[in-house]
Amino acid sequence: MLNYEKSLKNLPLKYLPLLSLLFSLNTLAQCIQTNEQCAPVNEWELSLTIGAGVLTNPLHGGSNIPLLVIPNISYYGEKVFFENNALGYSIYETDSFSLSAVSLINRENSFFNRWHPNNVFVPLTVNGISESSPHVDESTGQDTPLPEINLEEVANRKWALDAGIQGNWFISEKSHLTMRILHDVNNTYNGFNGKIEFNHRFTSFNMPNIKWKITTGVNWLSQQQVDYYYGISEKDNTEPSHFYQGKSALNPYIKIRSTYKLNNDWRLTFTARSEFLSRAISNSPLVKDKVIETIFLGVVYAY
Amino acid sequence: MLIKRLLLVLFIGSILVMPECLSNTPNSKVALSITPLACFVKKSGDVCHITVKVNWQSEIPINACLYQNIEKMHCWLVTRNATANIEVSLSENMVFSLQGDNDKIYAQQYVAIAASTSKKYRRRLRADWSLF
Repeated sequence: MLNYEKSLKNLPLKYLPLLSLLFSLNTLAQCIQTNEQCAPVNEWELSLTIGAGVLTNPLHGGSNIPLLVIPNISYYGEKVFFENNALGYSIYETDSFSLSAVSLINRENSFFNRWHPNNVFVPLTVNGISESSPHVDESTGQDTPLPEINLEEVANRKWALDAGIQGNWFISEKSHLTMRILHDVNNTYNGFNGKIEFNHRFTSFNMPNIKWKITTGVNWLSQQQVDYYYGISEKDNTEPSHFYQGKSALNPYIKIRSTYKLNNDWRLTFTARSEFLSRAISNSPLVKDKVIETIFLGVVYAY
Repeated sequence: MLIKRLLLVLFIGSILVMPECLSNTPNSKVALSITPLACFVKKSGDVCHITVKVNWQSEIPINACLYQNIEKMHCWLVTRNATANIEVSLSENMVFSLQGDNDKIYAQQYVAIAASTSKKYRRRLRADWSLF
């Protein structure tokens, strides 16, 4: 019994060398210019993507967000990095693993607010039209419309700035795992969110000029975050029968991206992404879709 | 019979001629050491001014001159070993050679030039807008 307790006590310490070994086993080559996973240090990078696409808005009354012009800006210093809407500082970094403190703008409010920083590059209009979907009442067996609340009817949601820790594990030159846990720092929803994401790059189908990246992961939203954005309460000035309390949610997603290099400056790009909303979100009277879809086809110009 | 004699003459001749052919290759009996082996500059293209320590030993006394590429830097007469500190300026990787009479190369040593602020790369930690 004593030995058992002792072994339990030493369990984390026991796994520490194993984890260190795991991260050090994949001896990745140092970053070089030709590797797309690498960025030049102390240089700003700017590219502009022009094309046609759409990000669906899952809310009642929320218009889909057209994707037309997408700027990408990034800077990587020795420790600091800035990439689009994220700012970070790497605390620990090796060729295969890095641990960083990060801060970024929370995405959720972009479905509610046309002036959200995530939407600066696309026009977003709210048309106020909502469609009702039939719902079978289990007690009566009759179709009854689900309560629907248009986003224009609810109180304004604030944007949130999140901060936390991010770990990046570069499993190989082609595979990469990201883990992140964040908390809002501007007292908006007072909760956590996180994600685990795996992506893999490859070229195949006898077309070496076309590069593919497949990404899969899961977004986790704490009960506080789901409740703040998708919950309905007194603050929303609606009927009490429509009140909804959010629960923590796990949203799995999958994305595929392909790029075709036209020349040194121009690339053709295609992206398709589906995020499957947890019932904790899709059951909200504010939400009409169970999936958030993104599709985009365009050209990228790198300055 | 005539062919055999001809081959014998050719063989002996080749043995006699061979050392002349190899006279411009480094001689293993002379050891040359130059330190440091690399010179660091701030950025690529900068000229590096450095004092190198030259040390060489020979089994027999020789006349030798140290060359930086094709430029003569320092000479020694009938010497078996020598040590000298010599100021040099480098703008690219450079070969130093210890040469004897008739441009015979006894030994060679390379000194590399490296820029400390050459472009570095690090792994991207986040790629896209959080929308995508």
